[in-house]
Amino acid sequence: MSDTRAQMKRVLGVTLCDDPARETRFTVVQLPQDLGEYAPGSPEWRRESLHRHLNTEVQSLEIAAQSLVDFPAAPWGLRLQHARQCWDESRHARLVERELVAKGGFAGEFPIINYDWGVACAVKTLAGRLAVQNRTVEAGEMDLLLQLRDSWESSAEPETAALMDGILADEIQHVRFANQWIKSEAKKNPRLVMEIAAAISFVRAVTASFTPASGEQNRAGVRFADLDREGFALNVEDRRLADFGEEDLAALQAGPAR
Amino acid sequence: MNTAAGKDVSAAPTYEAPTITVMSDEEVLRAFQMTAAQIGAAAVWWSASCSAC
Repeated sequence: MSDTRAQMKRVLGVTLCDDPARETRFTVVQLPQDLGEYAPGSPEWRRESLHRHLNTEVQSLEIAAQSLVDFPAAPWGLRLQHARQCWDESRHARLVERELVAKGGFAGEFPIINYDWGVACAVKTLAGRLAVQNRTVEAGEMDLLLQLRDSWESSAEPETAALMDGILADEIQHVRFANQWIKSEAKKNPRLVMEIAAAISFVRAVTASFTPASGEQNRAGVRFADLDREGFALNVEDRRLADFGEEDLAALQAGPAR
Repeated sequence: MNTAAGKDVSAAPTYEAPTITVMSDEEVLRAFQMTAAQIGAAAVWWSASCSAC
């Protein structure tokens, strides 16, 4: 790890990396209750979904770039993959913003939260960072993107659906290079496995701290209990392409080990 | 009275010998995974649908 020390923040009892810089037009919040999430399919949902997605892509760019800074001794091939990921994520952000504007929205229209950045950059080992951001978060986004693609398709918005499909194709490679590196390096250095276990345990603890009570409402007045966050099916086909093995997939479908 | 260091231990659970589970690197990696649904519980990602909206 380089000498660059990120500022940290405490939110809901957990220590996260402090927020990256944002233009003043954005309202940055710290809690899920302060985000506005609307009824899926409504015009507000369309814009807020893309707005949320825009900030997710920007964070993915920032996390990959920060990994280049934090881990200068990483193998050249891995650094090259991170650099390519920066290019992919910046292109995604531009394309998502274009869709947002096409639907009458604008950057800064809704509050944003830099949760992915806060969690991923709080992990200070290369193996842990790759396990959290690429093998876990971006792999989860592959599950999400498949459903988002289908949602946009069923809303008769084929251009937005095609964009989700294109982003999904790129995410496969971001997950794959991390999976390949982790599996290969773990054979040589078992210590990495414990770093990964610690990093994922940290994400589970953060998730538990952030999970709202079912009766709470978000900023849009929608009860969290009414929003379905369990309905994302595992994107098995794309996870296979990203080098998840059959036993990895079976374990994911069975639920987490405690 | 069954005592240990002067305390009643009759209600204590039966002693079980500790066990060790040996896991390979692949098994540990497999145990430390999360799905979108598990990550999404933090309510900062998208939701799949809304039942009452």
